[in-house]
Amino acid sequence: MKKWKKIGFTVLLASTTLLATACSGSTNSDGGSDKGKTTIEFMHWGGDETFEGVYQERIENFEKSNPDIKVKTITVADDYDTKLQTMIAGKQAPDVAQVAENGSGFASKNAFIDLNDKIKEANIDIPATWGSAIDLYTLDNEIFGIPDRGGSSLLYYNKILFDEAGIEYPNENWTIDDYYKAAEALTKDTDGDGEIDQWGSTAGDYQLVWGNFLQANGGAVIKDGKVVIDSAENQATIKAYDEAFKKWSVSYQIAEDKVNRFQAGLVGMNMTGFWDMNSNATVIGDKFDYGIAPMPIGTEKTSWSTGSALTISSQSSEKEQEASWKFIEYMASEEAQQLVGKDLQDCPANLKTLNSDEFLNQKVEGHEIDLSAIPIAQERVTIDGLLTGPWYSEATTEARAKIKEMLLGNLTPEETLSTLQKNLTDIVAKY
Amino acid sequence: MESKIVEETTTSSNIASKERRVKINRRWFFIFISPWLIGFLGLTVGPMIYSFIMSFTDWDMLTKMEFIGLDNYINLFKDQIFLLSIKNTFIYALMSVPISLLVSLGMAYLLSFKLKGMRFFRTLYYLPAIVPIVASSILFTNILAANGLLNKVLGYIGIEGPAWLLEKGAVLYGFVLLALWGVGSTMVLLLSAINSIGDEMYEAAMMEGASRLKMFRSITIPLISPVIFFNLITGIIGSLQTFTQVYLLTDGGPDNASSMIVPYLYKNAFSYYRMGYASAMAWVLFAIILVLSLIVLRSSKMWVFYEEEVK
Repeated sequence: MKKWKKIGFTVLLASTTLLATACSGSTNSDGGSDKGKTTIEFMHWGGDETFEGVYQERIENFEKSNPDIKVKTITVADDYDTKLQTMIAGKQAPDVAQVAENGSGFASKNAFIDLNDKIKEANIDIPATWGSAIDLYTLDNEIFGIPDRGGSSLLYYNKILFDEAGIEYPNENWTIDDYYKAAEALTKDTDGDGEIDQWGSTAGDYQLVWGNFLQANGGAVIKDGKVVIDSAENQATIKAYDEAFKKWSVSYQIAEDKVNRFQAGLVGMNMTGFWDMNSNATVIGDKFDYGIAPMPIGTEKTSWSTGSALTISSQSSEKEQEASWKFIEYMASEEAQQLVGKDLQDCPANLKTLNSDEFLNQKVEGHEIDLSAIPIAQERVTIDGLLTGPWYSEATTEARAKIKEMLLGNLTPEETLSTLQKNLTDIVAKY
Repeated sequence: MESKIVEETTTSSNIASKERRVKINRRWFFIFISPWLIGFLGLTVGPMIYSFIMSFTDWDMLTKMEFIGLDNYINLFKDQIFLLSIKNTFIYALMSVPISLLVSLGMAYLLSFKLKGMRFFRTLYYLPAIVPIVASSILFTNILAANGLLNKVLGYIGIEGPAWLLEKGAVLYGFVLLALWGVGSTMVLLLSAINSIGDEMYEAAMMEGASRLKMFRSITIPLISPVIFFNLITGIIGSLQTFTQVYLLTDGGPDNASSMIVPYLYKNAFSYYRMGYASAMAWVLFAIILVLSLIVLRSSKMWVFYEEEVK
């Protein structure tokens, strides 16, 4: 019996020690140089399709003009945050990592280096190149990410339904009131059976929509690290939003079947990110033809950000950081950004690229669509404090849950905002 | 042939060779179980100890671990969503385990009748249990939708079903229904236990004029009680650890009405950067399951009947 216990205890001790050292291990250089060549690791999400569409060509071009740098890409299909988290914890962080709203969480734990100096050295005019979109990648005045893929909330509208209803198309000066008027006119019972079969909008609890509306009316969810969601402007905005949903939006019960009613020509307007440009264009036909406009404005002209940026890991050696910066500089250059916007695969972050004729004159899946809304929307990007803190995930989940309850009719708008004020403040305090 | 009884003399050499044999056997024993033992210690016990240590820290996977004593555990019991998760998990377990057992017992009993075509029905009712839980969860997003299959069927018999996945009061029932869909494996275990009961008992009882119900209650149930006991314990442990279905169907919604302990633990560990806090949650869950299992184990002496015990 004694021997058994001894062996067992030794193995137990050994495996626990192994585990402990593995988890608190020393700094590993994950790239490394090989005969003067520096290898850097680049990680992004979206799977192979995204790699081929948005990154592959740019990486090849960069490697051609920088023969002493090799880029090793890690394509993540799912659970990107978890993977990045475990890599950083295991001291195996990729040199360059794509981030979006999840960036500030990692940045607050010093996962990335400050890029302010490098930007100044490279003489990049920040407002002209990216506008306020870079606020999403700024924490305590330290810029940790360079915008690489842009994109903001856009209002997609079905031209055919608008023509039928005799309403003018949305444009960059459309107000929220215009939007509600159009939503009302587009909601109909087309076959007279007492049930609505055409809706004005798909607006729901997606924060890109109601968050945009709050900002447009001068309000915010979180500002300067403080929760300000229960304000007079927000009360008015959310009340109108709630009423509009119940009258003119596709209800949750109906939307549960996950049918894309906008593409089916049953909904007048859909507000979402840039990513629907191509898929919508493939279904243009008798029932569906679309145009885009920036989000409706209020007292402010705002858009909700949907872009992503590239960061440099603080775990990388100086050589790797230098190589990574060269890589990022190229990715953000106008030449590379044009490749991002080629065929509308994705939306460049560089404003100069967005405003160029080369980008704007492109056809979408062979169709001609007026793309001028895209740079306008991108220039209007305003970052809410909800997105720039490690609380992003928890706070967004809570906000969406309560807004959904309101839209389902279980909470009044006043209750929703006052509950959120309390709960979001508790959440922010945890960080 | 004459059989000689060879007496083993207790010489020192005999004792020594016996000890050597025992030593050699012991060595082989360890060699054979070493793969499993290493795996168990390194991949189960080791991480358990590490997680226990983590539960007393504020580790977020990215910065240094700082010891914070019992703060995680104290905060757990102030965390409204965690308390709600415990409540939801218990309600779900209290509903799904007994109902599943009753349904599978009933089905097993009916399937034990020696009628033609029983094999077909046995296979049919077992099939849902081999569908991967991910696939059946996604399938149920359509079945439990407000205008989904279940409500359409209920509509035919005049009942207006709730929006299972959108209403706080209905969502847990939706999960119970999903659990019921998978009773196949429990049913098969009970069926084989029922079928292994010899006919003699029933024949003797029938001769004494016992009704079918009496036979079921006094013969069948006691004799299969070990299998019921097994399914009860595994059912409790499994239902308290529900994760996949919640993650895929509602992600805890609507508004945390279906939030259960493991999904909430997962969110805290991987979305909210609170690994230490999540570890504390895991250990609280462990304690709950341990206590409940012990209770069922102790109570089993009163109602589980093992044939071998009959002298």
